[in-house]
Amino acid sequence: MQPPILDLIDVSARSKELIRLHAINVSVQAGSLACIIGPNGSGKSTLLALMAADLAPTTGRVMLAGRDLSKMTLGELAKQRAVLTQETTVSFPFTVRDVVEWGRIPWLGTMSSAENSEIVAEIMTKLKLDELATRPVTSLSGGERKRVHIARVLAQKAPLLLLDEADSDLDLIGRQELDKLMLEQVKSGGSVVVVTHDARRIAPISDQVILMSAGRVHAVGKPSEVLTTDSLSSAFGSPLKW
Amino acid sequence: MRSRPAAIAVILVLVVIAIAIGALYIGVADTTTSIIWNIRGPRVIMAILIGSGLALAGVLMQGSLSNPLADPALVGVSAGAALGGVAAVSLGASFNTAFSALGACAGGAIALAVVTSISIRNRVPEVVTLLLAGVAVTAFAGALLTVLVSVSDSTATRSVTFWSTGSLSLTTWAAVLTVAPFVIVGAGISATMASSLDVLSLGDRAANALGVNVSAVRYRALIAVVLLVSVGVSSVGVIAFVGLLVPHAVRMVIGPRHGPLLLISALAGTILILVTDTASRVVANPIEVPIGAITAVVGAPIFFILIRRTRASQGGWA
Repeated sequence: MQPPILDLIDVSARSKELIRLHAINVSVQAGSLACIIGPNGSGKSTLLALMAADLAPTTGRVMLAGRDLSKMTLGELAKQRAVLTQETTVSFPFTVRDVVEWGRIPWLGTMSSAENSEIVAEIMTKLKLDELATRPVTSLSGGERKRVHIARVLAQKAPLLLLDEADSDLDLIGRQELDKLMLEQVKSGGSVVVVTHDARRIAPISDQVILMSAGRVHAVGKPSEVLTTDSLSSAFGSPLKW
Repeated sequence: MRSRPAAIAVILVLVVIAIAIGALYIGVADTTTSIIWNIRGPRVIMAILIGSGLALAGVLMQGSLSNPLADPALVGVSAGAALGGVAAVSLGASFNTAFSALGACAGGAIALAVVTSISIRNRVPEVVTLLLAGVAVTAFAGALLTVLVSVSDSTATRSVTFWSTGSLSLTTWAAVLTVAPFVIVGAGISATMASSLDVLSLGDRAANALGVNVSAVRYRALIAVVLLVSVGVSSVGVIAFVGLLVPHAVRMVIGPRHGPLLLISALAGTILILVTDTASRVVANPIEVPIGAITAVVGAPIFFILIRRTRASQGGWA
């Protein structure tokens, strides 16, 4: 059997005295969509940062397609996983096309520039960015900027997408489009892990829901198993009707 | 890139003007050759080294710290370098020697290490902290420099005013030969990092996820800054605002990509220092106005405009 695309074995994270994540075990199967939900400060972004190798675990190991993340180079990682961070600010007024093209950086030298441009052009059209292509990204609205970063992440063509609050800033149509893109990624054999506050929208289309609470995995499993009034209420510490 | 040949042509014209103009008009037969060769020649070459060095350092600092207000003088690198150079001389070295150059580099590097380590929190460089730390480091280094200049006989040829406002008037060929290798190596390093600096605009985490080793890029950029600025400062003093304003002006014209930005900024910085140095010699002839005074008089109002613009585009400094 194929190893899971992501396997977190006894992983914990602490910064100085603060325990950000207690030891957890979670795995994500290739070709699946996993969503991480939970209250603010419950460890969702920390968990995603560990999966992204953006944060080194204090204990335990994170395996990406059977390989220890800590033993992979930045270049190898960039070909395997793309990361959408919450930060969408770009410090200088680069054009929309410049930013999307950066998604191809991991592949420079392994593909012709014609192939790279083709991928960029295709994704810009898909994300409806053609009209904005020459606009400075600093002049865009929050939602538009988010779309540019999503395009950049997709241009990376990584088998695993790690998306931290991909839907924030997006309007209703934007969120619908995002869901479509995530499902497309999964359908083509890739995987997606998404952190969201919009559990009602994303959790039902997910293959797996990871419910976090106070730095622990409160519940993990199929949406129907995790998304119950009881488990959500106890995770959020307040009555919550599903 | 059409602006490149134009900029080089402008520089050549300015070199000729800079050599021809000064307190003494060229034409006095016996002294002409001597003035050109011994005084104005090295001075013009130094202007090129200082102008390109400061402008490149500005681009590298702004790009590597994702901070449009970074500048070697504002964040304390220049003050640290001046102090390091003076300290080496008061310990027995001469100005414009390898020892004073190393002292300057050490001073600049320590100042830069202090301000960047304070301002980078959770791997994100903070704009306000960087500038505040720069104020503190500049004041501290300036105070120590004043003390050293007051008590040490060996530094007497250069006053406190010389260090704070800069002047190319003491430039010799020895000074040019001391500064040149550092600026050339610094410029060489900066030429290799254009595309990585572009991606740093995304922030550290996103750049890392694209395979860019952000810490290594930042380290390399800051080492180049120290090389580009420190030895120059220990030879001509602190010339403010060049590293801040040149990259901004160039970015407004040609856009933010670091490849062309580095090259055109180096040329524009050269032009700026050639012009202001020539102006410093002629505006109050026969007295020389310190060049740093001219760049500050012109630069400070432009800095205000930049602050307003940046605030408008970023919505404040919170």
